[in-house]
Amino acid sequence: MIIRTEKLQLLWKNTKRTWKIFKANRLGFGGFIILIVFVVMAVFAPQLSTVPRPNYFENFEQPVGDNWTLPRPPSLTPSPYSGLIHPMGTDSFGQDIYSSVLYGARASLEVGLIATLISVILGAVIGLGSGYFGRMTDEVLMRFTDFFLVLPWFPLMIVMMTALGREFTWVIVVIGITSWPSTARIVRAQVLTLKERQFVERARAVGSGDAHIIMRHIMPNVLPLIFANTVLLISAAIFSEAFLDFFGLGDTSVISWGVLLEGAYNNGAIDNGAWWWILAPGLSIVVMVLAFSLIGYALDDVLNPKLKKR
Amino acid sequence: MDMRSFLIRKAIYLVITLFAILAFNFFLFRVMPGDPARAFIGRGISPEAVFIINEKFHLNDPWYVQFWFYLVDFVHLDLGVTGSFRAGSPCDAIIIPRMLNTIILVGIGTVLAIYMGIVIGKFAAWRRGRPADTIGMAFALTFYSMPTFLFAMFLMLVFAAQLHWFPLRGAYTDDYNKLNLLDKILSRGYHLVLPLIAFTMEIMAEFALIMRNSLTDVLTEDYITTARAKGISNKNILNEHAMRNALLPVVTVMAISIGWVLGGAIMTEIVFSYDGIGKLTWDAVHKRDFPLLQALFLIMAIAVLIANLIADIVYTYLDPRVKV
Repeated sequence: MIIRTEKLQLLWKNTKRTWKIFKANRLGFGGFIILIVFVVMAVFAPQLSTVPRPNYFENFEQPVGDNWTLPRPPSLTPSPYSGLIHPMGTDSFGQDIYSSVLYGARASLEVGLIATLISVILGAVIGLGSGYFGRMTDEVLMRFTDFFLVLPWFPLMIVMMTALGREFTWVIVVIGITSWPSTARIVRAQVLTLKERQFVERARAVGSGDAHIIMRHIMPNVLPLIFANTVLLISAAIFSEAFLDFFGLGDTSVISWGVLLEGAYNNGAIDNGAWWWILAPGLSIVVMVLAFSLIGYALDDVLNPKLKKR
Repeated sequence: MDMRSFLIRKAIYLVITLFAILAFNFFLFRVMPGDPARAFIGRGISPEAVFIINEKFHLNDPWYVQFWFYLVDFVHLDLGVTGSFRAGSPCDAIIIPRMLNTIILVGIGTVLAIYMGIVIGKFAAWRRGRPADTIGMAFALTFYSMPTFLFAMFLMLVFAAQLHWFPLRGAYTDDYNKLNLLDKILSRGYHLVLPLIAFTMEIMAEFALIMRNSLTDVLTEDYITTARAKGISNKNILNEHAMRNALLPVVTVMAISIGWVLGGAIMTEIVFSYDGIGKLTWDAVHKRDFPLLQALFLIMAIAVLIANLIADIVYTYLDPRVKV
């Protein structure tokens, strides 16, 4: 029991120290602040939005007269049809952009986090297995990883999504199972050095089994190192989701930034000069991907021992 | 190991990977819904006709016989027939002319992106921590975070739809076939400007970031300090001492990021209706033309495979430490 409390205290101390270094990295901290804003947007979307459930047909605006047409540019004057304000305008169906962008943060965060979780679990299991057991297991698993690394990533997602159909769950799963190879490689490299270390040898000498050594001795040492890579994977996942949506393989019943942009492209936003329809969701994607990238690079600076001297 | 056995080993891996890709491609498309015969004849198809079509494509045979025919046809460079376009016409007749458009876009774009990425990365790394570095990296990170289709849409909105400086769509004008050679090249060049900018910016940003990080790593090495102590000029240190070693990780990452390059090309082609492989993939998905999609995926996978092989060989030339 005492050992456990001591361990927790040590962990807390380490976390505090890491946080202090992380905070000193201005870009990373900036990314963190942006991320908090997005999380607030996603969680309080129903409270912050001007139109509840903006993708429901009954909540769409209708054109009124000659000077209230769709798509509606951003303005603070309430619409004559519903009396609602559209601070970022509407699209050509009358869907409120501001509220949609708020709800879109949910989809992006969900895809980013869940898909990355799938990919990290897959990558960690394969990397641990191949690094720890070595020999044939390593050879087979690494050839498998190389094969996935060589397959062109975007076309692979397109083909899988075409096979599975436009559903939000599948978007998450497909992104998750196409992005694990880099994690597997990093984990394997770490495990290869860790398993030769003395504490593993000692654990084996006192009779610990493979499962115990992996869970108690290898995993805790690997996880902090793949953390930075994981955050970068989140930004890649959000990026991929936007791409799949734009390609016409996303779930249109879910409000997401990619689907908004697909609608904008397919429904003449460019010909109409409806810049607000593209700008708001587009900027949101860029800023969110940027935020995760900044956090990822900052964490890499903090956690990667190779870069400490810089 | 000498170069020959290295190449032999690489060739064996290549063949195994190729086989794996073929198997993957074969089985993935078997889980897709729909009856292949319906792709060729729509309404009012009789069961006898279905049987004849199935017989022609070996669809009545067990899967291993089908797989065997698939492999044999692949060796004969027969990629099957398409369901959309003129139903029953061979896939390669549709793919090859479009491949030329993609190769023009991707070829010019990648060369430009690599060159500019290296120049910008070098510029920023040498001025690490100074405003030029911060601005350069903020610029690169922004483009790196921006999906290509978004930037492409922005370019199209401003320069094609509003200012009318460039054409809205296509790889060349509609009366392309009537033009003489010079006009043909001019027409292509004019249509290429916006897609090329959109495509180049994103991969350039990635290369610039890698180049900068790799170079800042190398510049902290002891041998750079030694070179400086010997009184070698800054320019010489950067170009002769640092760049050589800094380029190594860049080559590796370039090989890995070929998947990204393809993604960028697909997005650019869709936005500008640029008739290439990416646009064709989009068409194939939306017309549910699975044989065509299958052929396209195979071609893209093989292209990436070859690019990786080239990168591997270049790497062993660049780095004598790698024991081949």
